[in-house]
Amino acid sequence: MKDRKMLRRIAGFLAALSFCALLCQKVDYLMCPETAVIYAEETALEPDGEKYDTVVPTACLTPKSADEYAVYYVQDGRAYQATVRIAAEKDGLAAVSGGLPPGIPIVRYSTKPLQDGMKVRITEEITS
Amino acid sequence: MRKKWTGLWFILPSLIGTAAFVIVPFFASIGYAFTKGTGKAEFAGLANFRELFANDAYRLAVKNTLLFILEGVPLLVILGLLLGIALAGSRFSFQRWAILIPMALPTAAALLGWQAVFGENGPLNRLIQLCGGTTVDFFTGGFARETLAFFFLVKNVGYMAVIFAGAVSSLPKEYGEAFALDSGSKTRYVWHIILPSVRGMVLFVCVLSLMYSFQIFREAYGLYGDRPPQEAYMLQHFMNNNFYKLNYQRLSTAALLLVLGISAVLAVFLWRQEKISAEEGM
Amino acid sequence: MRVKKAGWWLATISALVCLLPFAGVIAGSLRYPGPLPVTLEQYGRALLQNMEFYTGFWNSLLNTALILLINIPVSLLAGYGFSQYRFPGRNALYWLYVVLMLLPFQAVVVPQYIVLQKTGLLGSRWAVILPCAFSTFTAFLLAQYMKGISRELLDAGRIDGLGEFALFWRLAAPLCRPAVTAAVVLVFFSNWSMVEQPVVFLDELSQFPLSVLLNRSSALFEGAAPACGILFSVLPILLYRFCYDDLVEGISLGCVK
Repeated sequence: MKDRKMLRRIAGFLAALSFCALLCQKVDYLMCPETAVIYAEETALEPDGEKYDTVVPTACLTPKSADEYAVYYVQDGRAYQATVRIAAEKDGLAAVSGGLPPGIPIVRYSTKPLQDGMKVRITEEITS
Repeated sequence: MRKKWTGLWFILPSLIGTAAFVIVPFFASIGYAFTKGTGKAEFAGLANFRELFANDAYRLAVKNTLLFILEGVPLLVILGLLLGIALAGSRFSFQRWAILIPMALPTAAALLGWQAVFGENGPLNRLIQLCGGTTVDFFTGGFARETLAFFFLVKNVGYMAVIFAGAVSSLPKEYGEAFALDSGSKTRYVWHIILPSVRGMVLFVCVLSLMYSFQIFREAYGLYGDRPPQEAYMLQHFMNNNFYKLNYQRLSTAALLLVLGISAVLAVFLWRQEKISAEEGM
Repeated sequence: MRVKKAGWWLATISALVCLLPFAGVIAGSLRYPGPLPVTLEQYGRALLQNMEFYTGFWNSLLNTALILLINIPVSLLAGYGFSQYRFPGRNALYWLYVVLMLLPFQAVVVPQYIVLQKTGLLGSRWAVILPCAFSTFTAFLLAQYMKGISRELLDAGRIDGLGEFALFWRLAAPLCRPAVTAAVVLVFFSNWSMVEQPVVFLDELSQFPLSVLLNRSSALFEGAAPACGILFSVLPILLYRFCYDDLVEGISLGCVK
C-alpha cells in the first residue's frame, strides 16, 4: 500500500541520516585538536618592576611578521587567532599588547596545528 | 439523549491551549498599549499611539508592509484565479504537480535556489547581459520588495489555484453544456458564468492571501536577517527590533493596531459574504 | 480552441517558474569550486563534516513532530465538536477560531512572549512548540470536512448503544482519513519552515531549527548550504509525493463553505 511505501522511505531516509550523524560526530571528535590552556596573568612583575596587564609564556607566541606575534585563545569551543606585540620580556614570560581579549584561556599546547576558528577541546588547564 | 454541552467537551482540549497561549494573553497585553513607564505602569491614554505614529521606523514598516500587500495580493488572486480556471478543465497532471511544489519546498531551500537563479552570476543576469543590459541586483538594488513579492507569488499561487480549480470544478456541468449550445464561445462562458459564481471564493482567497502575506518575513529574514534594505523593512522587523530593546508598550500598541486593522478587513469580508449568500440565498 | 491553448501556456509557464527554485538548489548543490563541473563534494561536506546541520535538522524534526502530535488529535476532537453538536455559543466560538486562524504572528508575538516568559518556557523547545501546536487552522479544516458526515450514520451508532466518544473514535474519525492526511501535510509544511518563533523565543544557536540556520548562518555550512537545503527538503517532498491526492482534496474541500 502507498502508506507502507512512504513510511518505509521516510524511515530509511531518517535511518541513513542518523547513521551519517553518528559518523560525523565520530569524525568531528577524532579531528578535533586537544589543547592545554593557560590563563593570562593579569598583573605580574617584570624586570623593570613594572606591572603589565597581560603576561603569557613566550611559548604561546608564534612570530607572524616583523613585530607581530600570533597567539591562540579559546572561546565557545573554538580557537581564534589574535595578533599581539611584545611590550616586555623576561624569563620565558612576555607581556603582550594587542587584540587579546582579557580573561580568556590561551592555548599553550595543542595536538594539531591550529587554524583560526577551528573547533578545539580543552583537556587541561595549566595553573603553573 | 444528547446532552446539551457534549460538543463543548470535545472542543475543550483545543480551547484550553488556544486560550492559554493566544486569547487570554492577547487581552492581557491590550493593557500594555495604554500604559507607560517601566516598572509601575501608569495609564497613558493614547500617548503610546501618538508616539508610535510619530516613529519613523514604524511609519517605514507600515508603508512597506502596505505596499507589499498591494503589490502581492491582487496579483496573487488574479493569477490564482486564471490558473485555477485553466487547470479545472483539463488534465494537466505535470502542471498540477509542479505548481504546488513551492509550497512543499522549505523556505530556506527555496531561497538558496532563488539566490542561485537571481544572483549576480545566475542565469537570469547572464541572459540580461546577453541582451546587452547591465547586471541587475535583484536583492539589494532597490527592488527588494518587488523581488519578495515575486517569491510570495510563486510560493502561494499553487495553493490559490487549487482552491479556485476546486470551486470551478464544482460548478454544475449543465451550465457549461447549455452555454456551449447557446454560443460556443468559451471566453464568454468564463466571463459571464464562472466569474460571478466564484465571487464568494475570490473574497475568501483575498483574505487568505492577505494572511499569508505576513509570512513573507520568513523569506525576508532568510535573505537579509535583522537589517533588510530600506524598501523591505516591514512590520515584523520593526517589532523584532523593539523586542531587543524590550519596549513592550510600543510593541503592544503596534500589535493592537494590527489586530484592529485585520478585524476591519475581516468585518468587511464577512459583510460582503453575507450579502453574497443572501443574493444566492436559496 | 484559443482559450484552451492560452490556458495551456499559462499553466505550463507557471509550472516551470514554480520549479525554478527547486532546480536552482539542486544545481547549486552539485557544484563546488574545483576542476569538476559536477561533483557531490557538497553532500560529503554536509553529511560528514557538519555537526550544525544535524543539530538543526533534529531540532526541526523534533519540533515539527511534537507540534503534529499535539495539534492533530486536539483539532480532530475540536472539529468533531464543532461540526456535530449544537450548544450555546458554538457559532461565536467558531468565528473566534476563524479569526485566530487568520491572525498573523506579529499580532500575538507580544502576548505569547510575555506568557512564555512568565511560565519560564522562554528559551526552551516548548517556547516554539506550544504556540504553534494550538493553531486553529487544523480545527477549521477538519470541522469543514466533518460537516459532511451523515447524521444517520451517527444516529444509527447511538441506537446501537455507542457512547458519544465511542461514536467519535469508532465511526467519525476513521472516515476523516483524507482530511487528516491533508492536515498533517499542511501543518508539517508550515512548521518545517518556521522562522518567526525561533527568532524571537530562542537564543541559543544549538536550539535553532534548520529553517533558521540554513540561510542566516551560512558560514556554519562552509559552502555546503545548497546540499543541506536539499537534504532538508527530502522529507517534505516525500510527504508531498505520497499524499498529493489527499492534499489537493483537503485544500479544495476545506475551503468550500
